[in-house]
Amino acid sequence: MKVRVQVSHLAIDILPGQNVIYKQGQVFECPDERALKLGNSVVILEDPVPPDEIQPPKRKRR
Amino acid sequence: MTNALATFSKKVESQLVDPLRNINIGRKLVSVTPAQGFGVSSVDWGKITEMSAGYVSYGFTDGNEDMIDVALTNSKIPVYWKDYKVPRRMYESWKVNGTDIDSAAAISAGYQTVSTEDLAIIQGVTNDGTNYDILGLYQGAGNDCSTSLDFGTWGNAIKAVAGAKNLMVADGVPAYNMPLNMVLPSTQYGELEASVHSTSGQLEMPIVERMLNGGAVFAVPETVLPESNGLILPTAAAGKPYFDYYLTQNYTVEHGFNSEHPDTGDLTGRVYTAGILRIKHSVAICKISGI
Repeated sequence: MKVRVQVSHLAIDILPGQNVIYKQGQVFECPDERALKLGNSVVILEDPVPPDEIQPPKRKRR
Repeated sequence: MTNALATFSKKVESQLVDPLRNINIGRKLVSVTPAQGFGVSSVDWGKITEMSAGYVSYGFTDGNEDMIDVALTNSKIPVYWKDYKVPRRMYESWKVNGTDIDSAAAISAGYQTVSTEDLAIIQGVTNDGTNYDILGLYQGAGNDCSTSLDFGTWGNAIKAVAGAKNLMVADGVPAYNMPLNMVLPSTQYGELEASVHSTSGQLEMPIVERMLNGGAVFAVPETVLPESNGLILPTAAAGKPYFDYYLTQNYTVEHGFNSEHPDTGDLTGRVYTAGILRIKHSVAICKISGI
């Protein structure tokens, strides 16, 4: 999911051993599980709908 | 009657001071103002949102005035408290014979009050468990070093401290030259304490402490700081310009009677304190997550 950095600087290693520093306002792609753990350090820009909340399409009545 | 109750409360309060001082971590991390009075229910304060750069020249020139951007904030001051009961016969026996007071209930209530205050200082104040009305040190941190450095592996705590200091320095906080504290949940503190290099036998904790420039490593319960999360911040004295704890009421004990049974009913007791954490410059605080 896409996230926007809220703190002044965020150092994160999305790929093991590769430390990247993002500045406030920068947007980057982050694995869902990791993004959720970042708490208020980021704002999640895309909020995917959980599979159990996806409604099946309605059928037309005849 | 009122005087006896007041004396009883003072006696219990005196027995509470040392145990509470030992378990209180939050107030050791921040500079605490003198108590301003319980009647103070809100406070105005300035948050520094931008630091201006300095100038160098061989003389002073006009037109270089630069304002530090300060956002004024008003916060309500929360009260942290816990009630308990004192058996009436114990109180009467203290009054007649001066029997030692069993202050176990009060100390237990005091622990709960301290724990609530620690949570407010370190995490923040929340009513629904998710959204914070007042940000604590962790929720209000202006930098985040989230680099999956498991403290169970030797060297990772050293890397985490170095990473956090690097982020603070990038914001103009002199982290290499000021005493810093590190706050860890009990699991990570235990891992760091037991971290020994496999070949040299070198302990990791002394190296980390040296990197903190005279600061210390504190352990807090995981109810206050969840596992895998930590904090690096200036010590209370060095951090005074960046954050402080605006205290309105220090730990106080009060007792009263139940009006239904004024002569035989148990005493009701209350331990309370009031204050609020003020973060003026959040970039001086760095979270370390994923540890």
